[in-house]
Amino acid sequence: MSSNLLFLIIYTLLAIATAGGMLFASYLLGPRRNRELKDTPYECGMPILGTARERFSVKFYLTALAFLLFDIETVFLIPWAVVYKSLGVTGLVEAVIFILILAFGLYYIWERGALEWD
Amino acid sequence: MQINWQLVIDIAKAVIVFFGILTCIPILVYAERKICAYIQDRRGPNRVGPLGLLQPVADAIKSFFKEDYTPSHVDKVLFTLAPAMAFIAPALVFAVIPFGHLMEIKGYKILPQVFDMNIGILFVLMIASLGGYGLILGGWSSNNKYSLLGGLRASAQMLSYEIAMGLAVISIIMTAGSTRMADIVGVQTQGLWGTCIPAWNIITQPIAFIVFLCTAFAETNRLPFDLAEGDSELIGGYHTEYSSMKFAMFFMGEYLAVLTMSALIVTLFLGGWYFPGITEVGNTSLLNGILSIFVFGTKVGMLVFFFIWTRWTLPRFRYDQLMKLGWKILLPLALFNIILTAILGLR
Amino acid sequence: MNGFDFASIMAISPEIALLLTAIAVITADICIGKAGRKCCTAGAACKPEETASSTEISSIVMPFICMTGIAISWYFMYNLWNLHAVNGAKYFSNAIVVDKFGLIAGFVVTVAAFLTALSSTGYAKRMKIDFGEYYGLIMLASAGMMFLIKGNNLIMLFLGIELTSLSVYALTAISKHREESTEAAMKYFILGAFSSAILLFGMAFMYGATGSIEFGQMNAVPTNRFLYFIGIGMMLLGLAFKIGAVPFHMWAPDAYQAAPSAISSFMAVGVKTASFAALLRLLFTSLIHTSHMWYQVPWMLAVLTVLLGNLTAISQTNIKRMLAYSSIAHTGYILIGVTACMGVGYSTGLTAPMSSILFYLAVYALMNIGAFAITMHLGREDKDFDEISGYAGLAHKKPLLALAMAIFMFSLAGIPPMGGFMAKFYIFRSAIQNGYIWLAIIGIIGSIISVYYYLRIVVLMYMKPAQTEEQFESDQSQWGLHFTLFATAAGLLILGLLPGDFVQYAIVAVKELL
Repeated sequence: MSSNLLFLIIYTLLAIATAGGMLFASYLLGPRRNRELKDTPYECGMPILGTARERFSVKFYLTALAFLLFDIETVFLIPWAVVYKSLGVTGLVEAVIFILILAFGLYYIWERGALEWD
Repeated sequence: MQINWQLVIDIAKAVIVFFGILTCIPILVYAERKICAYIQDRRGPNRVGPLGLLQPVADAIKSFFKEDYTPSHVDKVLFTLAPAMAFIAPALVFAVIPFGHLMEIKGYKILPQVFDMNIGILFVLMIASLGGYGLILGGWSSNNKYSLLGGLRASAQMLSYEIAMGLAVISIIMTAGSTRMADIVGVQTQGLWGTCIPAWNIITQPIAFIVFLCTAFAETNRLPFDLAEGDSELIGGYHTEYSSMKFAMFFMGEYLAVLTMSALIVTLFLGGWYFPGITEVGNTSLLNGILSIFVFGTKVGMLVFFFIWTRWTLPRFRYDQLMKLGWKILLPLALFNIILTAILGLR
Repeated sequence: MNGFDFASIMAISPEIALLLTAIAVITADICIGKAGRKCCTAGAACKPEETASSTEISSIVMPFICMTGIAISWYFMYNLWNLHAVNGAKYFSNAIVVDKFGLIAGFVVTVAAFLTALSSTGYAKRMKIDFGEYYGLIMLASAGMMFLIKGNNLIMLFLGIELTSLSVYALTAISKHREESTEAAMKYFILGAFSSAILLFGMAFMYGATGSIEFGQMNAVPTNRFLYFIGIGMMLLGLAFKIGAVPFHMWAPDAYQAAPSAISSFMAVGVKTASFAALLRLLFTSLIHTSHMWYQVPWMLAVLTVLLGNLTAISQTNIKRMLAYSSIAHTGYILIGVTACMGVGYSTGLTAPMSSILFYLAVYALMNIGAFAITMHLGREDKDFDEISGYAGLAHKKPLLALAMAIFMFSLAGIPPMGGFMAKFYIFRSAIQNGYIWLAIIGIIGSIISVYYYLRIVVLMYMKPAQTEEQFESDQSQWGLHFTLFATAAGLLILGLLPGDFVQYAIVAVKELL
């Protein structure tokens, strides 16, 4: 089985080489015409206002936090999902308790408005 | 010196599969432009070559010969890395997808799958989420407000839908009892309730299928979920500052993602390479193998058509609708489906 | 005992009660607090009277849910105390141990949580704190402390520490509108996360060196002494941070000063008690056989902590900051007790110092909560009454309050007949008995220094005139605080005059641990 890893590595290297090759080819083949205005960020031709390195809405952080939580839930459920038939009712009850706790968390952030975007 | 032909075959297989899916990109580009044209009652590309068939080639050549400009205000390393990531990640996903039945020719085994990994589905989830980095890094490194917004939207959207996707996959893992792709296909080749109807997961797991389909659209950033791009509001979003081949690579990545997502949906829900009456399980003849690959290709082609069809039919979501769908509908639905599957499966 | 059976559930029933209480509080917050929040966020048609009434209701209902939950968890603890005559039964694949040591330490922690909830009845509303988050996090932190105390392997230890710390970081910043609060919480969080990482790293080394993560199983002769040494060092460092020992104390003054007083006391008492319980369990079930490798660490920490804590406290003008340094000093006294545990002939001599540590933690809980409750009682609007000079003349305006404060200060300084005196007496006696006379002397010197800054407040209260007329007027109903002050002051007097019973319990508990 592990010798199969070789083919995955070859495949990955091929993908990386192709991507790199395409980037390099366009670097070689394209013309070079520098203009001063090309160096400014594109804002529909208007004069640039401020910088793009600004603070952004805290909503995105909330989403990221909620994601961490539920993604970990997914990760914990996968081993159970593989063997749930042999774990039987006990395993089901434990998993349902686990899911319900997180579902309650979802209900809480829902009610507290962390999922509202308007 | 003894040549290990098995090894040569397997290595050749990896190379062929990679260039095979690479070849699919221009076909997809052409298909998208033609289908969109007919949906809009136009004729689409018809000047370059017969029926406009050489249009994608012309596009590619044009991309190569445009100026590859890296503005001085960007973060150069990440700016270059981003399109590469967007391209490499979906290509890698294809490595674990079984696209045909095992063939045996003169004692040599040819399994139409680059790597039969026992944690295949986890590998898919892992690599597919790497694809999001391409958009996020592209958006951030461009140092442009539109790009930043596009990248942020892309990240929030991908995170939100990844959870529902993972949970939908869990119910598939439960029916198969394995995370290996071949086992997931194997379960779907059996008959349902003793009849000849195949136990495809689309029949046994309809809720998971709907959830997965929605998240698949969101993860590939296709309409109706293309808020990260948002041509009319964000001027292309994360790729505003890109030009030439780097710009094109984002689109190649997107088409690759459509292809691999379709292949994934076929594998997980539509029985993979299996079709009752045409392909047989356990028959390792060359003919059966080629038939199975053909079946797989047809299914993928139909799904790709569905992707394109949807894109030119539906309008774009509003951002709050997008988040509402992901968190308030798909996530509870997927959780409910897991519990339902567990209860029905243990009965 | 590896499965999912009734006995296992009963073993963690107090924790389950606390966690369910947290969920109940959050649910109540969603149900009651919804009307009030909608007005604040959506900017929709806002009825002030509706908001006010829902705030009023939740400011009473939520602490009561908490207190009920804690009472239920006391009932379960009482059951476990009666049930487990046997020495430390282990559950969940030996991850949880139920013994009387853990039950006593858990009782101290939950008493602290109970008094915090009780004293917050009017306080949380006055400080404009979000009730659901506040009480929910207090409950989660208590559950974390209980798991920390009961944990019988390194993973439970780490989970307990993280559940506690993460809740407490958030509680430090609970008054979101105060900048210093947010700043202190950020400092606390970054340093705390760093120390947790070091602790976790140490655990990994420990596992590498001994091949086990279970307490009591790690006392095999280490295969790799270098790994083992690094592991112990990193784990001690991480725990020293949590108990606030010098030189890992830098977070404490900022966090205690900037957090609302109720949280400062809960943080000081709960986190310290739980971390010390875990430290004792770890050191004396698993690491004692290699004490020749690390026996210098506790006494060095103890000396540094006692001296630096007391000396820095002198120059403080803010009473919460002063109490923070005093809590560091108290950590030092307890560390003297920990050092005493490793004295001559520890197999017989261990009971006295360890039971005295438990006694000290209980007394410390009462006097610290009481002292912080005074600053809550006198505070107005969203501030605590924390300027030391402001206490001048308190005795003339509010004699009972001044009396309570005097009791707490005397007790903190260790003057008879308060509980603080007995606590210090037991600690220093056990140090002398186990051959650490010089350490006891340093402790006593520290106590003498501390008398200066504690009694300065008493002098101000009784012998100086008030600065302005209405400075001690408080504008809220304070019955919860009154009860807290009465309970803590009475408890200190009882523990000071009749310490025998509690010490007996502590001795029983410690014998079970060893």
